[in-house]
Amino acid sequence: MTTAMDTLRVLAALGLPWLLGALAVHRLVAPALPGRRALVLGYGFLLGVLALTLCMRALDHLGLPLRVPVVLAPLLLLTLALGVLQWWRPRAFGAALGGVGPGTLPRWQRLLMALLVAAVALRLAGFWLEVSWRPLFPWDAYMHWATKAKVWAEAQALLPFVSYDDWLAADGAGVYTDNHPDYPITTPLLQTWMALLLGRFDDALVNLPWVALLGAAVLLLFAQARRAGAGPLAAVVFCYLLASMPMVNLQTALAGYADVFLGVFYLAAVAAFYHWSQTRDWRDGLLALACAAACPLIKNEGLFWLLSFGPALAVRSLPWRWSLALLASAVALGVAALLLAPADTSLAGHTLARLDVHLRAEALQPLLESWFVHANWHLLFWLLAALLAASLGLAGVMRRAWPPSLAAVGAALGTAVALFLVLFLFTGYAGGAMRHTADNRIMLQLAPALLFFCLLLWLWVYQLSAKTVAGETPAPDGGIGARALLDPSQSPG
Amino acid sequence: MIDLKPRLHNWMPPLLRAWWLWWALALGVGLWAVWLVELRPRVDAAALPPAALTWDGAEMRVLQGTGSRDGPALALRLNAKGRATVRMPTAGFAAGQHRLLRLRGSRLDALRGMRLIWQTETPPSPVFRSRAPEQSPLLRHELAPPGWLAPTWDLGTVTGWRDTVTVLALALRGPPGQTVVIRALSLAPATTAGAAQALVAQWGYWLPWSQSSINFYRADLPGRVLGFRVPVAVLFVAAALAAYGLLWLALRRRLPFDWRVAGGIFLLGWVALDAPWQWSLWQQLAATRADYAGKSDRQKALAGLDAGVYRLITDVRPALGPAPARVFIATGSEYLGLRAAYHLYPHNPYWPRGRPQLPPAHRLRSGDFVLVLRPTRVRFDAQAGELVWRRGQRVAAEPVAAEPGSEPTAGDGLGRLYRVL
Repeated sequence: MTTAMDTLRVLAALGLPWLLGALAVHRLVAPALPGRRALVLGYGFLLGVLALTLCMRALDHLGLPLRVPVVLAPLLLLTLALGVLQWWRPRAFGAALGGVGPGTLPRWQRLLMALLVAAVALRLAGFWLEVSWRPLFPWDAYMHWATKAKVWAEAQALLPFVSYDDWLAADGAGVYTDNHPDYPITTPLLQTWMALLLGRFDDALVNLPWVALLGAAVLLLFAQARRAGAGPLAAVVFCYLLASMPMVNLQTALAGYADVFLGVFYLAAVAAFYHWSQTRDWRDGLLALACAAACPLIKNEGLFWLLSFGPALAVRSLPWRWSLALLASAVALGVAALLLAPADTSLAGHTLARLDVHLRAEALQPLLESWFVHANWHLLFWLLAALLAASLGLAGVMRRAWPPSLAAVGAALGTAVALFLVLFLFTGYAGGAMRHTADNRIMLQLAPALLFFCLLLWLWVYQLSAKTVAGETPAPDGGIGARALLDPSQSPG
Repeated sequence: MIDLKPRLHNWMPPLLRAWWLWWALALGVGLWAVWLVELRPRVDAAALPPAALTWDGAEMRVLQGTGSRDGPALALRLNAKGRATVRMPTAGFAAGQHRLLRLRGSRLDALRGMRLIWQTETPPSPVFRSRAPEQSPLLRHELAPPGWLAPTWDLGTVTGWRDTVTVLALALRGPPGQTVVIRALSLAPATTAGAAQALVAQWGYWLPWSQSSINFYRADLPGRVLGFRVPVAVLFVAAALAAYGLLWLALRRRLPFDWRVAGGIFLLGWVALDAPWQWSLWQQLAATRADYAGKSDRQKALAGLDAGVYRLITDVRPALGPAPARVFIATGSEYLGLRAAYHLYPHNPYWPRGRPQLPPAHRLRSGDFVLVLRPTRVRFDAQAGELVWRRGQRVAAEPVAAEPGSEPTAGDGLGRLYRVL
């Protein structure tokens, strides 16, 4: 039974890192941005969680016990310091709707926005209750994620988890084992933190950060969409799309897996990278770097998604011929490495022998089914396919290349999707696609960022078509023309 | 070649410039496309619709489970295996003329499955001589779970739903001892309204969370032409967008392309998929609330699917002493092994997934524990006082009692804990 004291402790456990992160992001980002308040809250949660888990690792590394006062002290000090800074040198948080007053929008837009916001809020409230009530449920969560948190919360120390063989060799003395002792520990640390503040390991309440994560994802997508030039309604629509995708919902309601965390961090990294590539503002670069670097700390696949920024940087910084040559060289190098490397070479936690690299064409149809036929993503992949076709078609007809920032994001996501396809079409993981036991969970790590890419494509197609119809020359990069999107007073023509 | 730079110089009545008008028109085309593909083939417009067949609950014969009449309704109690079957009194009817199955009753959402069972008779050929009408074997069709409307199913594309139906029965599955009330079962001719109602009823259904829920969400529509919700939604969106695109091409000198129309069509397609999903989330939330809300951690664990394992671990925990005790878990069941290991932390369990159930005997030390859960290849030789497993591995051990002086625990017959001597 959740008591009032439990609720207070849960709110403190979620609120403190969130506040710390929000204050840090608030001091970091530029003062006048559309959607700034949402940006601060959205990225604030991610960076707060990241700071918290890094702090716990550091304390354990220093040999300090993970007792509540020991973990709280540095967090409170940092939060206090940032709070004092805010009091001493105050900064405005920005407008609620991201720079557009509600009165300036037509009534139907306000009504639709209110409906969509209510739908998202209602869903989040439902997830909060579902997660609060249901004890830990999904398979991997009790097989190798929460196992560590249970031990660490009890021992108040990060006791080592080792493989079955090492456990037997050590006679189990001072070491523990589970099915994946080598998995990154960010989410177990977060559950440990919840348990520490709760004072017990409640395997329902320790999962509430998953619900907060979805809220943060919605906020940061809203902010980054506004910054990219979307109007308030368009930004809210895309937030609703994100919050309603069944796979995103499943990993929130049945909390305990790390894929959705990785997906949101990757979304945050891609979105910040897009803005950095447009403005070259170091603050966006820092946000992108922090979120991208966090990916391998959440799941092993995060390393590949981190590497996907390599091609993106090449596309953004080099002439396209150089980028193409570099990409071809990287692919050739990768193939050669796969063919020539010793079989016991480990790649993100898996040996080449275990991956058993060769083509498995039979996995293609199940993958396409997952994207286009099943309701895992509602219409996300249809939207992506249509927008890609429309943008490439328009680009061909009008002889306009994608803007460099859009192309850079496309390169990152294209690389990530290519790596995804390599995983499921060329390795032993094909079985996970054919039985649908792994393909959707891995795609969840990319889907939020793909939705952001859809938004960028749409803005570009909209801007291009609008300016073309009006007989104007399109801007070389995504400008703010689309900010009036769906606003009848400023609709094209 | 398409002229992408039209000049909007021709006059157009203000009403026809309203974007919502074109939006509504395009949506109408989208719905028409869905009707054409999913509903029209089910409606036999040529034949005069026969009357619906209706059987009250009181008329039904109970073949499995126990039933009691309550006016025209039947209160049906599932047997110890969680099953009940009722048979309709029918002298035979043409399956092709009765395609829409409706079930009226209450507490049907407690069921875990329903199956229609029938037998058909092929009439003798009017041209070629045949001795007797041919009887089919008993045919079965799993009915999709009840959705957000009264349970209605379209049997139009069900294999074997043809010829003359001579035997008709309904089999129910659910928790043992569960009582459901059946008021009536009816078979109606396929009409446009009925087919649409069946599609809408089938559009939203809820299945409780299972261990595979975390991996995918298919949203299938069994028996439908397109088979899944997403292709139906895509058909709707594509037809509506195509209609709007054609209209715009035809009137592009008078009508500007309006993204609100295209965006509105897409958003409606998304919402059409999301509404049943949100509905199923609410259904699940109600079920979760009924199972777990207001309960302590222990009560929640005892209400879970693995209550037996939890009870066993709770019983033996005092015998394990202070954490961390080394506990080897020997079982052939992945689920039991995983759940037992999870409940045992922060002790130090060893459950090697995908490996032999126990390591070689020399790896076990005096004072270790072995939790043996069925099914398993590890057995206790009481005479020798040894645990024995494959290839002659054996180790001296004794069964552990949960309480000093009590019998060694058997935890719902799931297994037993042993101490290595």
